[in-house]
Amino acid sequence: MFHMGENMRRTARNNTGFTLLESLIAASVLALSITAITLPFTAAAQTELEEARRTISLCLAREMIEEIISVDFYDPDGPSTPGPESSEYTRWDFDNIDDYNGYSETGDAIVGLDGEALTGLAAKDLTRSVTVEYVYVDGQPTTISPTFVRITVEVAYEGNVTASVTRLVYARDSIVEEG
Amino acid sequence: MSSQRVKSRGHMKRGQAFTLIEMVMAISITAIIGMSIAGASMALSTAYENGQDYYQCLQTGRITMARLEQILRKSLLIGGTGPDLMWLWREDTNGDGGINLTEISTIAYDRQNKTLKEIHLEFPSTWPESMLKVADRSLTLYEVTAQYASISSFRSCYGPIMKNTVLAENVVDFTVAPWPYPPITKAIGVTMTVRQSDRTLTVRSAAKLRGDTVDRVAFAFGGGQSGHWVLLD
Repeated sequence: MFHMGENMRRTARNNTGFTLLESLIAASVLALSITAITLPFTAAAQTELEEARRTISLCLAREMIEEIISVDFYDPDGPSTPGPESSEYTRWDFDNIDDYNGYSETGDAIVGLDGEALTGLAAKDLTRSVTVEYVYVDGQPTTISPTFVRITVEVAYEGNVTASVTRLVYARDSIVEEG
Repeated sequence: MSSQRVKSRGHMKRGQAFTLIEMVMAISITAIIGMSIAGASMALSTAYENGQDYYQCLQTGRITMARLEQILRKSLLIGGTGPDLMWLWREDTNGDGGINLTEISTIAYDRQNKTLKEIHLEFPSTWPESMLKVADRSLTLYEVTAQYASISSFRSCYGPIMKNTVLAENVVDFTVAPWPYPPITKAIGVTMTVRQSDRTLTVRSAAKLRGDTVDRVAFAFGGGQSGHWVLLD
C-alpha cells in the first residue's frame, strides 16, 4: 500500500511540467552562460577601440606640438599676448607660438598640415585643444620678458582626456630686456 | 497484487524504445543546439581574429609613425615630395656641410606591394677610399630639389648598391604634407592607412625638422626669369 502510493506520487510528479521557479532558474543559468561567454569578447572589442583612440590621440597631440614649434617664438609684428591677433582668423594665419593659445578643433574637423580631417571610427568625436602660456623657470629673473612658453595639447573623447602632451619651448637668443 | 501490476507496467515503460516522433524531436533539438554552438564559436573566432588584425594595424601604425618621426626630425632638408614619395637630406655624414649622394634618402610608398620603404645608397665598404670619394659625389641643392635626386630614379645605375629598408607593410594609403613647400620645409605631416584583412586604421602625425638647415637655403635668380634654390655656406 505504501509502495503503491509512493509510485503514484512519483508518476504524477513525472507527468507535470516545469515549475515557474525551475524555468526561471534554467533561464537565469542560460543567460549567465551566454553573458559569461560573450562578455570578454565585447570587452576586448571595446578595449581595442579605446587603444586605437589613445594611439590616434597621442599622434594628433604630437602633430600639433610639432606644428606649433615650427612657427616663430616671437610675433614678427611686435609684442603679443597669448591668443590670436585680430587679423588672424584661422590657424593658417598664426605667425608665432602664442597665437595658438585657446585654439581648439572639434568633431570631424581635426585637420592636419594638409588641411584634411582624419577619418575612421577611432578618430570620431575627438576634440583637440591648445594652451600656450609664458613661464619663468627656476632662477630666471622675472624682470625680463618671459623666454619660455609651455605648450599643452590635449586630445579628448567625450570630455575625457585621451592624450596630453606638454612641451617647454625656449626662445633662443631672443631675450629682450625690459626697460 | 496491485503493487505488482504497477511495477510491471513501470518496468515495461522503461523497456520501451523511443517513438519516431521522439527521435525526430531529439535529433532536431540536438541539431539546433549544435548549430547555435557552432555559430557562436564561429562568431567568437571571427571576433578574435578581427581583434588580432586590428592590433596588428595598431602596432604597424605606431611603430611606423615613430620611425618616420625619427627620420624626419633628424633630417636636414626636405628635397621634394611627390604623390607617393619624399626625398630628403638625411644627415651630413661626412660633416662637410654639403649634400652627398649617400646622404640622400627616399621614403617611397610602393602602391603595388603596399609597402613603405626607406631607400638610400650604400657603397660597399670594400671599395677603396679614393673610389668612394668619387662615387659619393656632392650634389647641389638644385640637383636635390629636382626630381632626379630621388634615389628611386637612380635605380638603373645604382640598383645593386641601393639599400631598401621596409618601414611598413600592408599600407593602403600614404600621403605627405610639407609645410611650407620644399626645400624650405620646416615641418612635414604624414598620413598613413594600414589594412590587415578587413580592418583598417588611419594614423597621422607630423615632425619638425630639427636641423634648422632651412636658414641656409636661398633662392638665387639666374639670367632672365629663371632661378633656383642654393645652399649657402
